[in-house]
Amino acid sequence: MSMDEQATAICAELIRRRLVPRNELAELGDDALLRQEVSQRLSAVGLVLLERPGVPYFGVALHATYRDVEQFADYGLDNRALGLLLHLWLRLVAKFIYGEQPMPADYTQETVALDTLAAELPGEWKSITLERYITRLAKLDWITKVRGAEAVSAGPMLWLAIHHDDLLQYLREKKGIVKAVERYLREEREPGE
Amino acid sequence: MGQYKLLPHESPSPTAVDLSGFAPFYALLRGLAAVQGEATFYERLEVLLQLARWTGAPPTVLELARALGKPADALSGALSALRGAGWLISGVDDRHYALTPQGRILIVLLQLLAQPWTEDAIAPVATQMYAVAESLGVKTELLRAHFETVLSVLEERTGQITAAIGAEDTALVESRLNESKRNAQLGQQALALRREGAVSPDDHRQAQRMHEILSRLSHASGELELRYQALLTRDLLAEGGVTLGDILDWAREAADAEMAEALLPFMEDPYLPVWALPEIALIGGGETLLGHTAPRRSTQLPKPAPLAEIPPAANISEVKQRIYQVQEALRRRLTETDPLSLAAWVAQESWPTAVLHFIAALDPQLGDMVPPIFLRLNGQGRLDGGAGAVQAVTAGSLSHSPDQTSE
Repeated sequence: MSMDEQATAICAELIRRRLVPRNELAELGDDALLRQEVSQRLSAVGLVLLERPGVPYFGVALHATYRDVEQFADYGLDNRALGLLLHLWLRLVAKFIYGEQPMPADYTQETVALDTLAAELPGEWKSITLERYITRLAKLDWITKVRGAEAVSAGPMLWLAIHHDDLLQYLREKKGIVKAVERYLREEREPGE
Repeated sequence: MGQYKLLPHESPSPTAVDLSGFAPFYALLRGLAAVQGEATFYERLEVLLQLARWTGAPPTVLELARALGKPADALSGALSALRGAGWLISGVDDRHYALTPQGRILIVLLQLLAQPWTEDAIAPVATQMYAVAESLGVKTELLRAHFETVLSVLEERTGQITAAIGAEDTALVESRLNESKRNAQLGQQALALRREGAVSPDDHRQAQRMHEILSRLSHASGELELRYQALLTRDLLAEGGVTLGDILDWAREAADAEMAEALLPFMEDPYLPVWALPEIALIGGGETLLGHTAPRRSTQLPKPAPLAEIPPAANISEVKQRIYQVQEALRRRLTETDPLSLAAWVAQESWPTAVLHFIAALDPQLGDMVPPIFLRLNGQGRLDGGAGAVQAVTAGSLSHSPDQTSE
Protein backbone atom coordinates (compact mmCIF):
# COMPACT_ATOMS: atom_id res chain seq x y z
CA MET A 1 0.00 0.00 0.00
CA SER A 2 1.42 3.37 -0.98
CA MET A 3 1.74 6.16 1.57
CA ASP A 4 -1.00 8.00 -0.28
CA GLU A 5 -3.37 5.07 0.17
CA GLN A 6 -2.26 4.58 3.76
CA ALA A 7 -2.93 8.21 4.60
CA THR A 8 -6.37 8.02 3.00
CA ALA A 9 -7.26 4.90 4.94
CA ILE A 10 -6.04 6.34 8.24
CA CYS A 11 -7.92 9.60 7.75
CA ALA A 12 -11.08 7.67 6.98
CA GLU A 13 -10.60 5.52 10.05
CA LEU A 14 -9.98 8.49 12.30
CA ILE A 15 -12.99 10.36 11.01
CA ARG A 16 -15.16 7.27 11.27
CA ARG A 17 -14.17 6.39 14.84
CA ARG A 18 -13.00 9.74 16.23
CA LEU A 19 -10.70 7.91 18.67
CA VAL A 20 -8.48 5.01 17.59
CA PRO A 21 -6.10 3.02 19.83
CA ARG A 22 -2.49 3.68 18.88
CA ASN A 23 -1.72 0.00 18.49
CA GLU A 24 -4.24 -0.19 15.68
CA LEU A 25 -2.45 2.60 13.86
CA ALA A 26 1.10 1.63 14.73
CA GLU A 27 2.42 2.89 11.40
CA LEU A 28 1.05 6.35 12.19
CA GLY A 29 3.06 6.42 15.41
CA ASP A 30 6.22 5.09 13.80
CA ASP A 31 6.32 6.96 10.51
CA ALA A 32 6.81 10.72 10.94
CA LEU A 33 6.23 11.37 7.22
CA LEU A 34 2.96 9.49 7.26
CA ARG A 35 1.89 11.35 10.39
CA GLN A 36 2.69 14.65 8.71
CA GLU A 37 0.70 13.65 5.64
CA VAL A 38 -2.32 12.62 7.71
CA SER A 39 -2.06 15.77 9.75
CA GLN A 40 -1.98 17.93 6.62
CA ARG A 41 -4.93 16.16 5.05
CA LEU A 42 -7.01 16.58 8.19
CA SER A 43 -5.92 20.18 8.53
CA ALA A 44 -7.00 20.88 4.95
CA VAL A 45 -10.59 20.11 5.92
CA GLY A 46 -10.57 21.90 9.26
CA LEU A 47 -9.69 18.93 11.44
CA VAL A 48 -6.77 18.36 13.76
CA LEU A 49 -4.96 15.15 14.64
CA LEU A 50 -4.88 14.61 18.41
CA GLU A 51 -2.01 12.73 20.01
CA ARG A 52 0.11 12.92 23.12
CA PRO A 53 2.96 10.80 24.44
CA GLY A 54 1.71 8.38 27.04
CA VAL A 55 -1.86 8.40 25.78
CA PRO A 56 -2.58 5.20 23.83
CA TYR A 57 -4.98 6.81 21.37
CA PHE A 58 -5.01 8.91 18.25
CA GLY A 59 -7.94 11.23 17.96
CA VAL A 60 -9.44 13.72 15.59
CA ALA A 61 -11.22 16.96 16.42
CA LEU A 62 -12.66 19.93 14.69
CA HIS A 63 -10.10 22.71 14.69
CA ALA A 64 -11.02 25.44 17.17
CA THR A 65 -11.24 27.98 14.33
CA TYR A 66 -14.19 26.20 12.78
CA ARG A 67 -16.09 24.93 15.77
CA ASP A 68 -19.42 26.36 16.82
CA VAL A 69 -19.45 26.66 20.59
CA GLU A 70 -23.21 27.09 20.62
CA GLN A 71 -23.48 23.57 19.29
CA PHE A 72 -21.54 22.18 22.26
CA ALA A 73 -24.76 22.21 24.21
CA ASP A 74 -26.38 20.10 21.50
CA TYR A 75 -24.33 17.14 22.59
CA GLY A 76 -24.40 17.85 26.29
CA LEU A 77 -21.51 20.20 26.89
CA ASP A 78 -23.41 23.04 28.51
CA ASN A 79 -21.77 25.42 30.99
CA ARG A 80 -22.30 23.03 33.86
CA ALA A 81 -20.65 20.18 32.00
CA LEU A 82 -17.73 22.40 30.97
CA GLY A 83 -17.31 23.63 34.55
CA LEU A 84 -17.26 20.06 35.77
CA LEU A 85 -14.84 19.15 33.01
CA LEU A 86 -12.42 21.86 34.14
CA HIS A 87 -12.68 20.64 37.73
CA LEU A 88 -11.88 17.14 36.59
CA TRP A 89 -8.96 18.38 34.53
CA LEU A 90 -7.59 20.24 37.57
CA ARG A 91 -8.05 17.14 39.69
CA LEU A 92 -6.81 14.48 37.28
CA VAL A 93 -4.38 16.12 34.88
CA ALA A 94 -3.15 19.54 36.03
CA LYS A 95 -0.80 18.34 38.74
CA PHE A 96 1.21 16.40 36.16
CA ILE A 97 1.35 19.36 33.79
CA TYR A 98 2.26 21.70 36.64
CA GLY A 99 5.23 19.51 37.44
CA GLU A 100 4.12 18.78 40.96
CA GLN A 101 4.25 15.10 40.09
CA PRO A 102 6.01 13.19 37.31
CA MET A 103 3.90 12.13 34.34
CA PRO A 104 2.09 8.88 35.16
CA ALA A 105 2.84 5.76 33.16
CA ASP A 106 -0.88 5.17 32.85
CA TYR A 107 -2.98 8.20 32.01
CA THR A 108 -5.91 6.72 33.95
CA GLN A 109 -3.84 6.22 37.08
CA GLU A 110 -5.17 9.26 38.91
CA THR A 111 -8.74 8.87 40.11
CA VAL A 112 -11.21 10.86 42.11
CA ALA A 113 -14.15 9.50 44.06
CA LEU A 114 -17.51 10.99 43.16
CA ASP A 115 -18.15 11.79 46.84
CA THR A 116 -14.93 13.77 47.03
CA LEU A 117 -15.68 15.49 43.77
CA ALA A 118 -19.19 16.46 44.93
CA ALA A 119 -17.74 17.94 48.11
CA GLU A 120 -15.22 20.01 46.17
CA LEU A 121 -17.58 21.36 43.55
CA PRO A 122 -19.05 24.80 44.12
CA GLY A 123 -22.80 25.16 44.39
CA GLU A 124 -25.35 22.43 44.86
CA TRP A 125 -24.76 19.15 43.05
CA LYS A 126 -27.29 16.44 43.70
CA SER A 127 -25.76 13.01 43.31
CA ILE A 128 -28.18 12.14 40.54
CA THR A 129 -27.23 15.29 38.63
CA LEU A 130 -23.54 14.62 39.07
CA GLU A 131 -24.02 11.06 37.90
CA ARG A 132 -25.87 12.29 34.81
CA TYR A 133 -23.10 14.70 33.87
CA ILE A 134 -20.41 12.13 34.60
CA THR A 135 -22.15 9.69 32.28
CA ARG A 136 -22.38 12.36 29.61
CA LEU A 137 -18.66 13.21 29.85
CA ALA A 138 -17.73 9.53 29.92
CA LYS A 139 -19.79 8.90 26.79
CA LEU A 140 -17.80 11.58 25.00
CA ASP A 141 -14.51 9.99 26.24
CA TRP A 142 -13.51 12.95 28.41
CA ILE A 143 -13.41 10.74 31.47
CA THR A 144 -13.58 7.04 32.27
CA LYS A 145 -15.67 5.49 34.98
CA VAL A 146 -13.60 3.26 37.23
CA ARG A 147 -15.04 -0.22 37.24
CA GLY A 148 -16.38 -1.40 40.55
CA ALA A 149 -15.91 1.96 42.24
CA GLU A 150 -17.80 5.21 42.50
CA ALA A 151 -14.87 7.05 40.97
CA VAL A 152 -13.61 8.40 37.66
CA SER A 153 -10.27 8.74 35.95
CA ALA A 154 -9.18 10.80 32.98
CA GLY A 155 -10.50 9.70 29.60
CA PRO A 156 -8.35 9.95 26.48
CA MET A 157 -9.96 13.21 25.38
CA LEU A 158 -9.09 14.89 28.68
CA TRP A 159 -5.45 14.35 27.78
CA LEU A 160 -5.72 14.75 24.01
CA ALA A 161 -8.16 17.56 23.33
CA ILE A 162 -7.01 20.24 25.76
CA HIS A 163 -4.08 22.62 25.31
CA HIS A 164 -2.71 21.90 28.77
CA ASP A 165 0.20 24.31 28.92
CA ASP A 166 -1.77 27.24 27.55
CA LEU A 167 -4.71 26.55 29.84
CA LEU A 168 -2.46 26.27 32.87
CA GLN A 169 -0.67 29.49 32.02
CA TYR A 170 -4.00 31.27 31.60
CA LEU A 171 -5.31 29.94 34.91
CA ARG A 172 -2.10 30.91 36.71
CA GLU A 173 -1.97 34.44 35.35
CA LYS A 174 -5.66 35.30 35.41
CA LYS A 175 -7.26 33.23 38.15
CA GLY A 176 -4.73 31.66 40.51
CA ILE A 177 -2.73 34.86 40.89
CA VAL A 178 -5.66 36.57 42.59
CA LYS A 179 -5.79 33.84 45.20
CA ALA A 180 -1.99 33.80 45.50
CA VAL A 181 -1.90 37.52 46.28
CA GLU A 182 -4.67 37.08 48.85
CA ARG A 183 -2.78 34.18 50.41
CA TYR A 184 0.49 36.10 50.46
CA LEU A 185 -1.09 39.12 52.12
CA ARG A 186 -2.89 36.90 54.63
CA GLU A 187 0.30 35.08 55.55
CA GLU A 188 2.16 38.33 55.82
CA ARG A 189 -0.48 39.75 58.12
CA GLU A 190 -0.82 36.60 60.20
CA PRO A 191 2.51 34.82 59.92
CA GLY A 192 1.68 32.34 62.68
CA GLU A 193 -1.30 30.85 60.84
CA MET B 1 26.87 52.99 83.85
CA GLY B 2 25.86 49.38 84.40
CA GLN B 3 25.88 49.93 88.14
CA TYR B 4 22.73 52.05 87.98
CA LYS B 5 19.66 49.91 88.46
CA LEU B 6 16.06 50.95 88.77
CA LEU B 7 14.13 49.13 91.49
CA PRO B 8 10.36 49.09 91.36
CA HIS B 9 9.09 50.35 94.68
CA GLU B 10 6.71 47.44 95.12
CA SER B 11 9.49 44.89 94.78
CA PRO B 12 12.44 44.52 97.13
CA SER B 13 14.61 42.92 94.46
CA PRO B 14 16.39 45.31 92.08
CA THR B 15 15.33 45.27 88.43
CA ALA B 16 18.07 46.07 85.94
CA VAL B 17 17.33 49.06 83.72
CA ASP B 18 19.50 49.94 80.75
CA LEU B 19 20.20 53.64 80.93
CA SER B 20 22.36 53.78 77.84
CA GLY B 21 19.69 55.57 75.85
CA PHE B 22 20.05 58.61 78.07
CA ALA B 23 23.75 59.10 77.33
CA PRO B 24 23.25 61.63 74.50
CA PHE B 25 21.36 63.93 76.86
CA TYR B 26 24.06 64.24 79.43
CA ALA B 27 25.56 67.25 77.70
CA LEU B 28 22.17 68.88 77.30
CA LEU B 29 21.12 68.24 80.87
CA ARG B 30 24.39 68.81 82.61
CA GLY B 31 22.60 71.12 85.00
CA LEU B 32 20.91 68.07 86.48
CA ALA B 33 24.23 67.07 88.00
CA ALA B 34 25.88 70.52 88.19
CA VAL B 35 29.63 70.02 88.03
CA GLN B 36 29.79 66.71 89.81
CA GLY B 37 30.17 64.50 86.76
CA GLU B 38 28.45 61.79 84.82
CA ALA B 39 27.95 59.41 87.76
CA THR B 40 25.98 62.02 89.64
CA PHE B 41 23.91 62.70 86.49
CA TYR B 42 22.82 59.07 86.27
CA GLU B 43 22.19 58.85 89.99
CA ARG B 44 19.85 61.86 89.89
CA LEU B 45 18.23 60.64 86.69
CA GLU B 46 17.57 57.34 88.40
CA VAL B 47 15.84 59.15 91.28
CA LEU B 48 13.65 61.07 88.83
CA LEU B 49 12.76 57.89 86.88
CA GLN B 50 11.90 56.09 90.09
CA LEU B 51 9.66 58.93 91.25
CA ALA B 52 8.00 59.07 87.82
CA ARG B 53 6.93 55.46 88.10
CA TRP B 54 5.95 55.72 91.78
CA THR B 55 2.33 55.05 92.51
CA GLY B 56 0.48 55.85 95.69
CA ALA B 57 1.55 58.43 98.29
CA PRO B 58 4.86 60.23 97.64
CA PRO B 59 7.77 58.28 99.22
CA THR B 60 10.06 59.37 102.00
CA VAL B 61 13.81 59.28 101.54
CA LEU B 62 13.93 55.91 103.31
CA GLU B 63 11.27 54.38 101.09
CA LEU B 64 13.02 55.73 98.03
CA ALA B 65 16.41 54.45 99.22
CA ARG B 66 14.91 51.02 99.80
CA ALA B 67 13.37 50.98 96.36
CA LEU B 68 16.62 52.04 94.71
CA GLY B 69 18.79 49.79 96.84
CA LYS B 70 20.96 52.71 97.96
CA PRO B 71 21.87 54.18 101.34
CA ALA B 72 19.50 56.94 102.47
CA ASP B 73 22.43 59.22 103.25
CA ALA B 74 23.66 59.05 99.71
CA LEU B 75 20.24 60.00 98.35
CA SER B 76 19.65 63.01 100.55
CA GLY B 77 22.10 65.18 98.66
CA ALA B 78 20.62 64.24 95.29
CA LEU B 79 17.08 64.91 96.49
CA SER B 80 18.03 68.32 97.86
CA ALA B 81 19.74 69.32 94.64
CA LEU B 82 16.79 68.20 92.51
CA ARG B 83 14.33 69.98 94.76
CA GLY B 84 16.45 73.12 94.63
CA ALA B 85 16.49 73.02 90.82
CA GLY B 86 12.68 72.87 90.70
CA TRP B 87 12.29 69.25 89.55
CA LEU B 88 10.80 68.11 92.88
CA ILE B 89 7.94 69.68 94.82
CA SER B 90 9.00 71.63 97.87
CA GLY B 91 7.39 73.69 100.64
CA VAL B 92 4.28 71.66 101.43
CA ASP B 93 5.77 68.52 102.92
CA ASP B 94 9.55 68.38 102.81
CA ARG B 95 9.67 64.79 104.11
CA HIS B 96 8.00 63.39 101.03
CA TYR B 97 9.29 63.64 97.49
CA ALA B 98 7.31 63.99 94.24
CA LEU B 99 7.95 65.37 90.74
CA THR B 100 6.82 68.85 89.81
CA PRO B 101 4.90 69.07 86.48
CA GLN B 102 8.15 70.23 84.87
CA GLY B 103 9.97 67.22 86.33
CA ARG B 104 7.29 64.87 85.03
CA ILE B 105 7.45 66.40 81.55
CA LEU B 106 11.21 66.17 81.59
CA ILE B 107 11.14 62.48 82.41
CA VAL B 108 8.42 61.67 79.92
CA LEU B 109 10.24 63.48 77.14
CA LEU B 110 13.56 61.94 78.12
CA GLN B 111 12.03 58.50 78.06
CA LEU B 112 10.60 59.18 74.63
CA LEU B 113 13.85 60.55 73.32
CA ALA B 114 15.92 57.77 74.84
CA GLN B 115 13.95 55.12 72.94
CA PRO B 116 15.76 53.73 69.91
CA TRP B 117 14.01 55.39 66.97
CA THR B 118 13.56 53.94 63.56
CA GLU B 119 12.88 56.07 60.54
CA ASP B 120 9.23 55.14 60.66
CA ALA B 121 8.94 55.99 64.34
CA ILE B 122 9.47 59.72 63.93
CA ALA B 123 5.82 60.53 63.36
CA PRO B 124 4.50 58.28 66.14
CA VAL B 125 7.01 59.66 68.61
CA ALA B 126 6.17 63.22 67.69
CA THR B 127 2.50 62.42 68.11
CA GLN B 128 3.18 60.79 71.46
CA MET B 129 5.09 63.84 72.56
CA TYR B 130 2.18 66.00 71.62
CA ALA B 131 -0.26 63.72 73.41
CA VAL B 132 1.91 63.58 76.55
CA ALA B 133 2.26 67.31 76.64
CA GLU B 134 -1.47 67.72 76.22
CA SER B 135 -2.18 65.21 78.97
CA LEU B 136 0.17 67.01 81.30
CA GLY B 137 -1.74 70.21 80.79
CA VAL B 138 1.03 72.22 79.20
CA LYS B 139 0.24 75.62 77.75
CA THR B 140 -1.41 76.23 74.38
CA GLU B 141 1.78 77.59 72.85
CA LEU B 142 3.60 74.39 73.72
CA LEU B 143 0.78 72.30 72.29
CA ARG B 144 0.89 74.37 69.14
CA ALA B 145 4.65 73.92 68.89
CA HIS B 146 4.38 70.18 69.34
CA PHE B 147 1.59 69.97 66.78
CA GLU B 148 3.77 71.94 64.40
CA THR B 149 6.42 69.27 64.84
CA VAL B 150 3.89 66.59 64.01
CA LEU B 151 2.77 68.52 60.93
CA SER B 152 6.31 69.09 59.66
CA VAL B 153 7.27 65.47 60.11
CA LEU B 154 4.12 64.21 58.46
CA GLU B 155 4.48 66.65 55.56
CA GLU B 156 8.02 65.54 54.95
CA ARG B 157 7.14 61.88 55.20
CA THR B 158 4.11 62.32 52.95
CA GLY B 159 6.38 63.74 50.24
CA GLN B 160 8.59 60.65 50.48
CA ILE B 161 5.59 58.35 50.52
CA THR B 162 4.13 59.95 47.39
CA ALA B 163 7.47 59.67 45.61
CA ALA B 164 7.30 55.88 45.99
CA ILE B 165 4.11 55.51 43.95
CA GLY B 166 6.01 54.78 40.73
CA ALA B 167 8.75 52.71 42.37
CA GLU B 168 9.65 49.26 41.04
CA ASP B 169 10.86 47.94 44.39
CA THR B 170 8.08 45.88 45.95
CA ALA B 171 9.55 46.08 49.47
CA LEU B 172 9.88 49.86 49.26
CA VAL B 173 6.32 50.27 47.99
CA GLU B 174 5.01 47.97 50.72
CA SER B 175 6.96 49.88 53.36
CA ARG B 176 5.66 53.24 52.16
CA LEU B 177 2.14 51.84 51.90
CA ASN B 178 2.22 50.69 55.51
CA GLU B 179 3.75 53.98 56.57
CA SER B 180 1.06 55.93 54.77
CA LYS B 181 -1.65 54.02 56.59
CA ARG B 182 0.07 54.42 59.94
CA ASN B 183 0.73 58.11 59.44
CA ALA B 184 -2.85 58.72 58.34
CA GLN B 185 -4.01 57.10 61.56
CA LEU B 186 -1.60 59.15 63.65
CA GLY B 187 -2.56 62.31 61.82
CA GLN B 188 -6.22 61.62 62.59
CA GLN B 189 -5.42 61.10 66.26
CA ALA B 190 -3.29 64.24 66.44
CA LEU B 191 -6.00 66.20 64.69
CA ALA B 192 -8.60 64.96 67.14
CA LEU B 193 -6.42 66.04 70.04
CA ARG B 194 -5.63 69.37 68.42
CA ARG B 195 -9.27 70.20 67.97
CA GLU B 196 -9.68 70.13 71.72
CA GLY B 197 -7.44 73.12 72.19
CA ALA B 198 -8.19 75.02 68.99
CA VAL B 199 -8.90 78.61 69.89
CA SER B 200 -7.04 80.87 67.45
CA PRO B 201 -6.74 81.23 63.66
CA ASP B 202 -3.31 79.63 63.94
CA ASP B 203 -4.90 76.54 65.39
CA HIS B 204 -7.34 76.36 62.50
CA ARG B 205 -4.56 76.86 59.97
CA GLN B 206 -2.72 73.96 61.56
CA ALA B 207 -5.86 71.86 61.42
CA GLN B 208 -6.30 72.78 57.76
CA ARG B 209 -2.72 71.71 57.02
CA MET B 210 -3.35 68.41 58.73
CA HIS B 211 -6.45 67.89 56.63
CA GLU B 212 -4.40 68.48 53.49
CA ILE B 213 -1.77 66.02 54.66
CA LEU B 214 -4.42 63.43 55.41
CA SER B 215 -5.94 63.95 51.99
CA ARG B 216 -2.55 63.45 50.31
CA LEU B 217 -1.89 60.41 52.48
CA SER B 218 -5.23 58.92 51.57
CA HIS B 219 -4.58 59.38 47.86
CA ALA B 220 -1.06 58.02 48.20
CA SER B 221 -2.37 55.00 50.11
CA GLY B 222 -4.78 54.16 47.31
CA GLU B 223 -2.12 54.51 44.62
CA LEU B 224 0.44 52.57 46.62
CA GLU B 225 -2.08 49.81 47.27
CA LEU B 226 -2.62 49.39 43.53
CA ARG B 227 1.09 49.61 42.83
CA TYR B 228 1.86 47.09 45.53
CA GLN B 229 -0.72 44.65 44.16
CA ALA B 230 0.74 45.01 40.66
CA LEU B 231 4.31 44.50 41.86
CA LEU B 232 3.29 41.60 44.06
CA THR B 233 1.52 39.98 41.12
CA ARG B 234 4.60 40.47 38.97
CA ASP B 235 6.90 39.02 41.63
CA LEU B 236 4.67 36.04 42.41
CA LEU B 237 4.35 35.13 38.75
CA ALA B 238 8.08 35.55 38.15
CA GLU B 239 9.02 33.50 41.20
CA GLY B 240 6.49 30.73 40.59
CA GLY B 241 4.52 31.84 43.63
CA VAL B 242 1.18 30.76 42.14
CA THR B 243 0.47 27.19 43.14
CA LEU B 244 -2.00 24.68 41.82
CA GLY B 245 -3.72 25.10 45.18
CA ASP B 246 -4.38 28.74 44.35
CA ILE B 247 -6.05 27.72 41.09
CA LEU B 248 -8.08 25.07 42.92
CA ASP B 249 -9.13 27.70 45.46
CA TRP B 250 -10.42 29.81 42.59
CA ALA B 251 -12.20 26.85 41.01
CA ARG B 252 -13.97 26.01 44.29
CA GLU B 253 -15.67 29.38 44.21
CA ALA B 254 -16.10 29.99 40.47
CA ALA B 255 -19.49 29.77 38.79
CA ASP B 256 -20.07 27.26 35.98
CA ALA B 257 -20.18 29.99 33.35
CA GLU B 258 -16.84 31.41 34.49
CA MET B 259 -15.28 27.94 34.46
CA ALA B 260 -16.67 27.23 31.00
CA GLU B 261 -15.39 30.55 29.71
CA ALA B 262 -11.92 29.75 31.05
CA LEU B 263 -11.81 26.29 29.49
CA LEU B 264 -13.37 26.83 26.07
CA PRO B 265 -10.49 28.68 24.34
CA PHE B 266 -8.14 25.83 25.20
CA MET B 267 -10.16 22.82 24.15
CA GLU B 268 -10.67 21.20 20.78
CA ASP B 269 -14.07 20.06 19.66
CA PRO B 270 -13.63 16.31 19.54
CA TYR B 271 -17.21 15.56 18.75
CA LEU B 272 -17.68 15.23 15.04
CA PRO B 273 -21.39 15.46 14.38
CA VAL B 274 -23.40 13.55 11.83
CA TRP B 275 -21.91 14.12 8.44
CA ALA B 276 -25.15 14.83 6.62
CA LEU B 277 -25.73 18.55 6.63
CA PRO B 278 -28.58 20.46 5.03
CA GLU B 279 -27.51 22.04 1.79
CA ILE B 280 -28.39 25.47 3.03
CA ALA B 281 -25.94 25.03 5.90
CA LEU B 282 -23.21 24.08 3.49
CA ILE B 283 -23.81 27.22 1.42
CA GLY B 284 -23.21 29.25 4.59
CA GLY B 285 -20.43 26.91 5.61
CA GLY B 286 -18.64 27.44 2.33
CA GLU B 287 -18.64 31.17 2.87
CA THR B 288 -17.51 30.66 6.42
CA LEU B 289 -14.58 28.45 5.59
CA LEU B 290 -13.38 30.61 2.74
CA GLY B 291 -13.69 33.81 4.73
CA HIS B 292 -12.61 32.29 8.06
CA THR B 293 -15.42 34.11 9.76
CA ALA B 294 -17.61 32.90 12.56
CA PRO B 295 -20.10 30.25 11.52
CA ARG B 296 -23.62 31.42 10.92
CA ARG B 297 -26.67 29.61 12.07
CA SER B 298 -28.93 28.25 9.35
CA THR B 299 -31.58 30.73 10.47
CA GLN B 300 -29.19 33.55 9.66
CA LEU B 301 -28.52 32.38 6.15
CA PRO B 302 -30.04 34.35 3.25
CA LYS B 303 -33.19 32.98 1.71
CA PRO B 304 -32.54 30.73 -1.23
CA ALA B 305 -32.58 32.41 -4.62
CA PRO B 306 -35.72 31.90 -6.79
CA LEU B 307 -35.56 28.87 -8.96
CA ALA B 308 -34.09 29.50 -12.35
CA GLU B 309 -36.30 29.11 -15.37
CA ILE B 310 -36.25 25.72 -16.95
CA PRO B 311 -34.21 25.86 -20.11
CA PRO B 312 -35.82 25.06 -23.47
CA ALA B 313 -36.85 21.48 -23.63
CA ALA B 314 -34.11 20.24 -25.84
CA ASN B 315 -33.71 17.02 -23.98
CA ILE B 316 -37.21 16.49 -22.83
CA SER B 317 -38.56 13.15 -23.90
CA GLU B 318 -41.15 12.84 -26.60
CA VAL B 319 -43.71 11.56 -24.13
CA LYS B 320 -43.34 14.65 -22.01
CA GLN B 321 -43.45 16.82 -25.08
CA ARG B 322 -46.74 15.21 -25.94
CA ILE B 323 -48.10 15.79 -22.47
CA TYR B 324 -47.13 19.43 -22.61
CA GLN B 325 -48.90 19.78 -25.93
CA VAL B 326 -52.03 18.13 -24.62
CA GLN B 327 -52.05 20.34 -21.56
CA GLU B 328 -51.54 23.38 -23.69
CA ALA B 329 -54.38 22.39 -25.95
CA LEU B 330 -56.55 21.70 -22.96
CA ARG B 331 -55.68 25.05 -21.44
CA ARG B 332 -56.61 26.79 -24.65
CA ARG B 333 -59.91 24.99 -24.87
CA LEU B 334 -60.82 25.99 -21.37
CA THR B 335 -59.94 29.61 -21.74
CA GLU B 336 -61.02 30.44 -25.23
CA THR B 337 -64.03 32.67 -25.51
CA ASP B 338 -65.75 30.14 -27.70
CA PRO B 339 -64.60 26.92 -26.14
CA LEU B 340 -65.16 23.48 -27.37
CA SER B 341 -68.15 21.87 -25.72
CA LEU B 342 -67.38 19.10 -23.32
CA ALA B 343 -69.20 16.62 -25.50
CA ALA B 344 -66.94 17.55 -28.32
CA TRP B 345 -63.95 17.76 -26.04
CA VAL B 346 -64.27 14.24 -24.67
CA ALA B 347 -64.53 12.99 -28.18
CA GLN B 348 -61.05 14.19 -28.90
CA GLU B 349 -58.64 11.49 -29.80
CA SER B 350 -56.22 12.32 -27.00
CA TRP B 351 -58.84 12.51 -24.28
CA PRO B 352 -57.74 9.61 -22.02
CA THR B 353 -54.22 10.92 -21.77
CA ALA B 354 -55.33 14.48 -21.66
CA VAL B 355 -57.68 14.08 -18.74
CA LEU B 356 -55.08 12.31 -16.58
CA HIS B 357 -52.47 14.97 -17.11
CA PHE B 358 -55.01 17.66 -16.81
CA ILE B 359 -55.65 16.41 -13.28
CA ALA B 360 -51.90 16.18 -12.62
CA ALA B 361 -51.41 19.73 -13.77
CA LEU B 362 -54.26 20.99 -11.65
CA ASP B 363 -53.37 19.11 -8.48
CA PRO B 364 -50.66 21.45 -7.16
CA GLN B 365 -53.00 24.38 -7.54
CA LEU B 366 -55.89 22.52 -6.06
CA GLY B 367 -53.68 21.60 -3.13
CA ASP B 368 -53.78 25.20 -1.98
CA MET B 369 -57.54 25.08 -1.74
CA VAL B 370 -59.51 23.60 1.09
CA PRO B 371 -60.61 20.06 0.26
CA PRO B 372 -62.82 18.60 -0.98
CA ILE B 373 -62.12 20.19 -4.30
CA PHE B 374 -64.64 20.31 -7.08
CA LEU B 375 -64.70 21.50 -10.62
CA ARG B 376 -67.90 22.95 -11.91
CA LEU B 377 -69.25 22.24 -15.35
CA ASN B 378 -71.10 25.23 -16.58
CA GLY B 379 -73.99 25.21 -18.95
CA GLN B 380 -71.72 25.49 -21.95
CA GLY B 381 -69.82 22.41 -20.82
CA ARG B 382 -66.80 24.44 -19.62
CA LEU B 383 -64.80 23.41 -16.57
CA ASP B 384 -63.91 25.89 -13.89
CA GLY B 385 -62.96 25.57 -10.24
CA GLY B 386 -65.11 26.65 -7.32
CA ALA B 387 -68.20 25.84 -5.36
CA GLY B 388 -71.27 24.06 -6.70
CA ALA B 389 -69.15 21.47 -8.38
CA VAL B 390 -70.41 18.21 -9.65
CA GLN B 391 -67.16 16.32 -10.01
CA ALA B 392 -64.48 15.42 -7.51
CA VAL B 393 -61.29 15.96 -9.37
CA THR B 394 -58.99 14.78 -6.62
CA ALA B 395 -60.60 11.37 -6.77
CA GLY B 396 -59.18 11.06 -10.23
CA SER B 397 -62.51 10.56 -11.96
CA LEU B 398 -64.22 12.91 -14.27
CA SER B 399 -67.73 12.25 -15.44
CA HIS B 400 -70.52 14.41 -16.59
CA SER B 401 -74.22 14.58 -16.76
CA PRO B 402 -75.62 14.37 -20.30
CA ASP B 403 -78.16 17.03 -19.32
CA GLN B 404 -75.48 19.45 -18.47
CA THR B 405 -73.40 18.74 -21.47
CA SER B 406 -76.16 18.95 -24.00
CA GLU B 407 -76.80 22.32 -25.39
